[in-house]
Amino acid sequence: MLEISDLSARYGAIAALDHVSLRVENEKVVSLLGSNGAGKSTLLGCITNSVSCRMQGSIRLDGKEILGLSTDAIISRGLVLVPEGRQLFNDLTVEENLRMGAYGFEHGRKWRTDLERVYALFPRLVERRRQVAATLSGGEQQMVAIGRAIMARPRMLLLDEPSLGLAPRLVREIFNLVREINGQGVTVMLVEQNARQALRIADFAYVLEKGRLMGSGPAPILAKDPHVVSAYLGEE
Amino acid sequence: MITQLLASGLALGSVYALLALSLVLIHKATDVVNFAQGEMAMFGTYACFALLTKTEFPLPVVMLAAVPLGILLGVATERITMGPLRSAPPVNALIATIGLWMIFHHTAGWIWGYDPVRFPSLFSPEPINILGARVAQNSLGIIAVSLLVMVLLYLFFEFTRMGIAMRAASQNRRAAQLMGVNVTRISLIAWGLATAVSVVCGLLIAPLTFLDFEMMLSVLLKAFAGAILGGFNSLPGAVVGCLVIGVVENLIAAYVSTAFKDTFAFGIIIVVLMFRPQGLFTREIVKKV
Repeated sequence: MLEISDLSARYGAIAALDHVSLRVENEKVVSLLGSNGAGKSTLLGCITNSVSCRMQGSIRLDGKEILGLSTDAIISRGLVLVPEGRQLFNDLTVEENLRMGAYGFEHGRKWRTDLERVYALFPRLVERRRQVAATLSGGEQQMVAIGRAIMARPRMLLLDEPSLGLAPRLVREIFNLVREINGQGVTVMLVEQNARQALRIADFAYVLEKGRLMGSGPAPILAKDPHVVSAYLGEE
Repeated sequence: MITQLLASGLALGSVYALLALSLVLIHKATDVVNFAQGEMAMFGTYACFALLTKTEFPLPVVMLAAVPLGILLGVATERITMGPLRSAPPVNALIATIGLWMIFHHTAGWIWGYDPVRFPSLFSPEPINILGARVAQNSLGIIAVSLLVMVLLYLFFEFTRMGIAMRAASQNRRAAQLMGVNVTRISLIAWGLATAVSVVCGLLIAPLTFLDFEMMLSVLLKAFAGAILGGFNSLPGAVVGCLVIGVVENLIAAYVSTAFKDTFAFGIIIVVLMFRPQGLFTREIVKKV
C-alpha cells in the first residue's frame, strides 16, 4: 500500500501541493482528477522523485518511507512512472525503447522474458518492433510507453495522462489495457483530465484542486457527485 | 596516381573521423563541445610514447595500452573539471574545455619538450599492389585500424545495454533518468570512450607528422569541419564528413596547391554553418517548445 501523508511541494516560492494525504490500496485502480495545474503531475513526480521541487511530508510504501530516495531506488521498489507526453526515445526502435525500461534490472533478469510479456499485452507492437518510435501512431506510442514501464516489473504503475492526444476509440482501448494490466495484479494510479474514462475504470478517486485535496470516494459514487459532475464531467 | 591519392585521402579522413567521433560522442552525451579533445589525444600519445621508450614494450602492445590509458585520462578529466560544472550553463563547460586545451598543450611541452620526435609506425610506407594500383601500406593500415574502432563503437551503441542507454539519454535525458539511468555515469563513460578513441587517433597520426605538442591543431580543425559537415550530432555523419574532407583535401593539395589544405577546412565550416547548419546527412533539427 502507498500512503501519502501531509505532502507539500513547492517550486521556489510557488506551492504546487499543499498538505495532501491519500492512500492507494494494493491491486486497485486509483484515479486522481483535477484540472490543468492542479498539481496532479507534480504528485506523481514527487512519488518517483523525478521533479525538481522541494518536498515535505511523508510517502510510505508498505510502511517504509520512500520520500528522498533516488528515482532508481524507487523504481527498484516497484513504483514506475509513465510520464505525460509519453517521453519515448524517438530515434530508438520499439524494442530498444522497451529494453530501456528494464535498464535497472538487466543484469539480474532475463529482459527477453519481460519483452514477451509486453508483446503479449500489446500484440500490435510485435510487427513494429524494429521500427523507430517516432514513426508510430499516438496510440502505439502510448502502448510503448506503458510497455516500457512494464519492463521494470512494476507493482504499481503511475500513469500520467495516458489518453492525451488520442482519438476516442484509442482512449477506450488504452483504458481497457490498463484494466487488463491491473487484472494481472499491478496497482494503478491514474492521473487523467478525461475524468469520465478515468472514473469508468477506477475503484477509487481523489479530486485535486490548486494543490489541495478537495474530495475523495469510490469512483461510482464520485461520478454522481454534483460538484464533480459540473466541474469535470460536464454535460452528458 | 589517383588511387594512391584516394587511399591516402581516405586514410587521412579516417584519422580525422576518429577525432570527430570523440567530439560528437561527448557532445551528444553531455551537450559539451570539447575543444581540448585534440590536445588530450596528443597528451595520451605522448604518454604512450613514454611507455614505449621507458619499458620497451613492442609497439602493438603500446597501441592496445592506449585504450585503457585514454579511458583513464578521459574519466579523470571529466571527474575533475566537468563534474563540478554539471549544473552550470553549458557555456561554462565549453570555456573550461578551452582552458583544458591550454593546460594539456603546455603541460605536454613542459614534460616532454617542445621539439618534434620521430614516432615509429606500425605499418611500412612501402606501396603494395592492389587491383593494379599501388597503395601505401600505412594508408591501408590506418584505414583498417580506424575501421576496427568504428565497428567496435557501432557494436557498443547498437547492442550493449550501456550503449543503448547512452543513445537514449542523448535523445531524452529526463526519460532516461526515469528508467534509472545514471546520467552522471553516462558523462563519465562518454569522456572515457571518446578520449580512448582520440588517443588511438593520435597514435595513427604521430608517425605521419612526428610527435609534437602542436600536432593535433590542424587535425582538430579538420575533425570539426568533418563533424559539422555531418551535422555534429550523428556518429556516421561525422565519419562520412571526415572521409570527404580527407579525400578532397588531398586532391586539392595535389592538383591545386598545398597552401589551400587548411583554409579549405575553414571554408567548409563557414559554408556549412551558413547554408546547412544541420549538416549534409541529418534531418533538420526541430526544437519542440
